Amino acid sequence: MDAAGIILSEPYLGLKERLIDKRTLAALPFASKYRLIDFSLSNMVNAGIRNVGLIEEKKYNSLMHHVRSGQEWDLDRKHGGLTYLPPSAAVNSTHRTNTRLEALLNNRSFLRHTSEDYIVMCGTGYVGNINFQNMLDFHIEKKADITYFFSHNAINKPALRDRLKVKADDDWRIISVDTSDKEALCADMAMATCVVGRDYLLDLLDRLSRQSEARSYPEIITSLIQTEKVMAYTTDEMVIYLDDLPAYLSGSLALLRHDVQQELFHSENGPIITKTKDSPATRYGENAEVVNSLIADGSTIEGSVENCIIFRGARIKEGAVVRNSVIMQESTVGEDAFLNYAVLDKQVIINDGRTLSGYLSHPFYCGRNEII
Amino acid sequence: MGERKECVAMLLAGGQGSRLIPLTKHTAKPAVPFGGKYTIIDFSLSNCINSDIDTVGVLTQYQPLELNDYLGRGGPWDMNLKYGGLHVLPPYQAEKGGDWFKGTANAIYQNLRFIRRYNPRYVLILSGDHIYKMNYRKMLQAHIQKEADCTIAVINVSKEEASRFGIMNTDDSGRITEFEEKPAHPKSTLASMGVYIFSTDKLIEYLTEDENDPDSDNDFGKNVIPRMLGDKQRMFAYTFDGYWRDVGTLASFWAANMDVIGENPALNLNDPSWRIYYRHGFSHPEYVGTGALIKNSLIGDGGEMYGSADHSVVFSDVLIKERALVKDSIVMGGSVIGEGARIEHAIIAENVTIGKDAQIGGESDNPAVVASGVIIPAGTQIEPGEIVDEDSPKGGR
Repeated sequence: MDAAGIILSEPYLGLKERLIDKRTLAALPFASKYRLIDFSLSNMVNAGIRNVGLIEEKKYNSLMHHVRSGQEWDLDRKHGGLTYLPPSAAVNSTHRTNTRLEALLNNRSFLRHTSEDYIVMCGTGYVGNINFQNMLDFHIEKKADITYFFSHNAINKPALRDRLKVKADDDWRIISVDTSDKEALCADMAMATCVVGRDYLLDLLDRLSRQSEARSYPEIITSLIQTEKVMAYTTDEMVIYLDDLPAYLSGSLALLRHDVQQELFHSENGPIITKTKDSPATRYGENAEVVNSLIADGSTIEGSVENCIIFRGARIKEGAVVRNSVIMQESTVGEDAFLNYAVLDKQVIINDGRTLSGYLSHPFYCGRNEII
Repeated sequence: MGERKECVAMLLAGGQGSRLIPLTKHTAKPAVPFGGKYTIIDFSLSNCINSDIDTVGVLTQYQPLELNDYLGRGGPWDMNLKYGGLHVLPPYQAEKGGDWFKGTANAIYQNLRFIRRYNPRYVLILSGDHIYKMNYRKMLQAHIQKEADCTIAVINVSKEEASRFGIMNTDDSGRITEFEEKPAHPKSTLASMGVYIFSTDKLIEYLTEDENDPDSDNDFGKNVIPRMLGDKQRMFAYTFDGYWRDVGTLASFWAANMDVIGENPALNLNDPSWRIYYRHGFSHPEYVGTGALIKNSLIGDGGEMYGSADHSVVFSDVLIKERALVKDSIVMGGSVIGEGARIEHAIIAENVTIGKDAQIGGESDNPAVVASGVIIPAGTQIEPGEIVDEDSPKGGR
């Protein structure tokens, strides 16, 4: 595939979620054994992209620890492969980047040094098993300047309040932004997934950098569609938004649907790949009861689990009842504890007998390493 | 880089495991799956890397295709190194002709060039078909401390079992005075585990001598060890008191898999201090559906469970359909257990399809076995202890 990839690990949206207090959004754990970045990286390599730049901004410790050399995705290559692009990586980089545009401007040298003609750019805050090759083919066929990705099959709504709505003409060219038209496509900013020619992008970045006044993303898009050929690529490939806590819980519980599992994990596009942990098989105890749940290897289930997402190394002790919850890596739910609509971050300990409950719209969240 | 390696391991992985047929019909015994996630050779390799031994020659011979694929360049065990690491050493043609490895000693002899490349002080000889977690580093320390020429790991077995093993008789200091292969009347119960540490110069000396003896079977247990003992070399037993199984038969293979089940299993695989590494597929998390009942079992990932599992080891990507029951059994990767099927005291190998309402096994001293890739038609009954492979009348492909 004649494209290099750029992954933005930050949403640049000023999200204030405790889920991302200690990690960049791309490092958010999801679906028992993955992090959001796994979906972006897997989509890229499954489309044949062999050169990926990973733009980082802050709190990217857990992200780098997870991705490492990129070897799980066969991205530890002599030529191309994975390149980390932290905020001060480039010669003329500004110290901090607060927008996607600044992040890209900061990394023009990466773009200049790629030999591929196209760039597939992937935002963060959603997951899907998406065929980027099809998107590139569309981009080339339509002779587009920029092609944005849209899914008809988003199973929840992004948390973002200022969603950007666009309208396309019959040929899928985006003709207007910010309409109240019900028929309009939601160009959810959290997605920010697009294809663009490399030379074109460099030229565009030059032009945008010369503009003095700071502009918001909707303003930039609004002016771009006047002068450039900006296309909408639409598919039925499922996406799940995960940009706030309620979306995270409902998106997680959606994984228990058969069609969602098929879309994400049995797609013809290819597998979703993650860092291996050499976890042993899941151990089910004498009195384990598990119904309609996703269970990672390395976990221990001795209690009752219903409608849950259980991560690697988690432990549900005897007599515990856990429902409609997400239990992240190496967290423990004590004996006879009761949890409903809870999201436990990593290495949480719920002591014996505790009762904790939230609701779908207001999940009970417990931060990393907390003890209750 | 380029420094001398203190200890190089040579792992004998060429054995067929003929008593494990049909599991070993198309693959070497070290590549047979074990414990829900692993293959047998993962244990020796993980023991090596956990013991800081990062240079391992794996000697292959019998049905090496799957084993070679599995080993690759040793990445899963952190042995994909530029200097040292994991090397697969198949039999080869040399200037004076080539041959299959004639015996365990000959296999090492043919690969002395590999050992010399790293100029190690010690060579650890291992077998790739045992299940155990052992710190070879401690054994090496004992070897160095006793200024031994050869140290042999031994395990205490019962008096009855002793006749099936090579038995070491030792003096009070642990020095081996006598070695008896499968003695009818064993004088001790210290059985050789097939784990040896040699000081390199002694190993080379005795392998060369053994090679020049036309009457030798070129076997460590039969020839090299007795010859060294006869020459009064300093040979010591190192007693290992952990879990160790040879899994040489289908019954012992089944039993060892059952040993990993439970809250305090005989063999604990959920041990962060001694992780067993393995090559991963891309399996997604396990989905447990409505109507599933899983208890007292180990289940790999990537599968879907709609039926029941009780006291069983189920590998990755297994589908157990509604009303099916898997009890006291092993189900290997990629197999499908049909609706209402009943699997009891059985070994279901990889990518097997069990048809609806089939009945496999039952109470018996020996497990029923269905070989890899076999399709068992709906309603078929497989007797306790019965073995079904692709050539059996009851098996199809």
